[in-house]
Amino acid sequence: MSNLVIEGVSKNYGSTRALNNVNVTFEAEKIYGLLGRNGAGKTTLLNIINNRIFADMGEITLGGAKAPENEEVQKKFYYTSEQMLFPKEMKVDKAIKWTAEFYPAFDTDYALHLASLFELPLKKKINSLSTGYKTIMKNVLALSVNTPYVFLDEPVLGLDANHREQFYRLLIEKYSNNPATYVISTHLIEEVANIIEEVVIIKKGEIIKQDSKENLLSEGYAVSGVASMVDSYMKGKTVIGVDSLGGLKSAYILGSPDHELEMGLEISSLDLQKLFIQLTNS
Amino acid sequence: MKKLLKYQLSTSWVSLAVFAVVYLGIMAFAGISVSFSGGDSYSQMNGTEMAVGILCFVIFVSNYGDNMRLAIQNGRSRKSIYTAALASAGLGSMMLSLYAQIIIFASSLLFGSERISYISMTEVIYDTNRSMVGHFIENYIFTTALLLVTAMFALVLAAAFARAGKYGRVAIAAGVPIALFVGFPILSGIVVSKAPALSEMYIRLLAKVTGVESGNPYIGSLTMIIAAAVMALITYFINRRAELKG
Amino acid sequence: MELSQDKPIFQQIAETIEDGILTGSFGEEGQIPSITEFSVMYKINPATANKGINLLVDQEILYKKRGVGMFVAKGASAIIKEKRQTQFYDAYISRLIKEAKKLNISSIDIIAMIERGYDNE
Repeated sequence: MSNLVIEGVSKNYGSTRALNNVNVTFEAEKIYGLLGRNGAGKTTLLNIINNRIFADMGEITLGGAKAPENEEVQKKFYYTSEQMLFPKEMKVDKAIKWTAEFYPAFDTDYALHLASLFELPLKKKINSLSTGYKTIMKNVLALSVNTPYVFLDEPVLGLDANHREQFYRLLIEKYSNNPATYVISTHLIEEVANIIEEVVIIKKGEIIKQDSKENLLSEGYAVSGVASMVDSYMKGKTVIGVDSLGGLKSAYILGSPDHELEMGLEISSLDLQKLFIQLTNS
Repeated sequence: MKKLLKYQLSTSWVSLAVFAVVYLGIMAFAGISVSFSGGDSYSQMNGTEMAVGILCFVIFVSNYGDNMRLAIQNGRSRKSIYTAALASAGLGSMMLSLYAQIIIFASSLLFGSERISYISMTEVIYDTNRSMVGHFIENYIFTTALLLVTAMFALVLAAAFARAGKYGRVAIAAGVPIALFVGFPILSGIVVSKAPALSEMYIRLLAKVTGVESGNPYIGSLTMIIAAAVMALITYFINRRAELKG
Repeated sequence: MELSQDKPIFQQIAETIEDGILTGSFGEEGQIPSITEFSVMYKINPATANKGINLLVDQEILYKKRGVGMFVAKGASAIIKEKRQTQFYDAYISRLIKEAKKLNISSIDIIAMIERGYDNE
């Protein structure tokens, strides 16, 4: 399976620039976290890739073939967005049936198994499902469709803790047994941090980071301790953020920690959520 | 494309089936009740294809948006969706028209008498010979063209509606009926009273172009097919860059 | 089985497997859970679990049987013990000394504590 390459994509809504010269590549068989704050442009980017809306500028290609309006490419994608594109009156079992019609690799038995696992009522109209169950239905489809690229926009929206955990476990199991590219777009960083392999951070319509999670987190570290000690440690270093609590302080620093550390200072690794917050705070 | 057609059929077959039964029922009921009643009343079941036209319009207008969204969700292109819509408009027109003609013809044969007549719309407009036998093909083509035009009109409206923003949609939903049923009659009234020469020219042109002047349904059919083609083209351009909104 | 923040996850996976081998939960020449099972259990990306397992394969603690799964190598216990003995100073002693110094405990006190511990535990 080829790479999905997005080059120079821009999108304006009136005078607002929703996406500005976005360049990003999604490789085959990896789990990506597309991370960004509310309104950063994640959904706009996904909508463009999946032929819902058109970019004003730029190119989207899969193995060289253009993606917009191209069924050969689009049939390799599946996208569950926040907005439901199914007729409201359609029942859950019909949604499963028609998705299977249009996607030959769809595993209906697995979908029905998942539906019963989540207690998703098959005979109910999509419209009458709660927010959480609408999400569950979308996840059932996404996990059963077996396309090389699956895009999930906020796949745990409205899910209770049990269902969230269940979803993550199923996703990992599915990915491990049938590798494909999963792009999870979310602002719930903490939960997905361990699951994703690659990170794409989008801020105000621009890609500010694109790297493997491993590289990203090894870019720096956190140092904590008494505020005065941390302050003196910080001198001459690239600090990307600080947290203070009373007399204690944590600093987030790029690079490698000093070999000799004063007693009272603790080094820990960056965690993705903290790094994300530091990078995306205006 | 086949799958899109299959889907379109699945969303509309119930309406079609219900209509088919109701239409047949009404035609038969009229005939039967007249046979059993006495008296001198004369009933006319004329131009009943109008109902088929309305059915056609309603089905296309109401399903287009949903069908398009489902198709996009399932990786289909707008071009495919458009082609499928045209195909179903064409096929649907041909089959509905055939059904209507057969029912009218059969009703006329079975129940037609001095007390009840079943006449196709073609004969109503063009005043041709009442017998269906010689004019079946003529009626069929005319009715098919009529249904095609209503379907295309529905598609143009639906496509424009899908593409429009919040206010655009209100404008279309309110504007089109007002223009057709209020604006147009008022405008015609004004033109007739203030510029009778102009309106006379217009009416004569209309008569020529629809074949009413020459009593030739084929001319009318051609005009309608051309109108349908124009609307199809307009729909194509509206559809091409339609963006799916929330 | 919680994951901590201070060590890379793949390393924690490797260590958990090593612990299992040392305690006998994973017997030598026996099969260990698959990568899928590890990733689902810890809710981590399979590539991470894979990395941890490959680490142990490189150290000849585990080996892969094509089409079947991962198995504990013969003599794995011995390898692990030797490795950990070498790492013992860095893993435990160095930190113990740092903490002791923080609390002003002298080396003599520590030695006494250790002897006490060996007698009692």
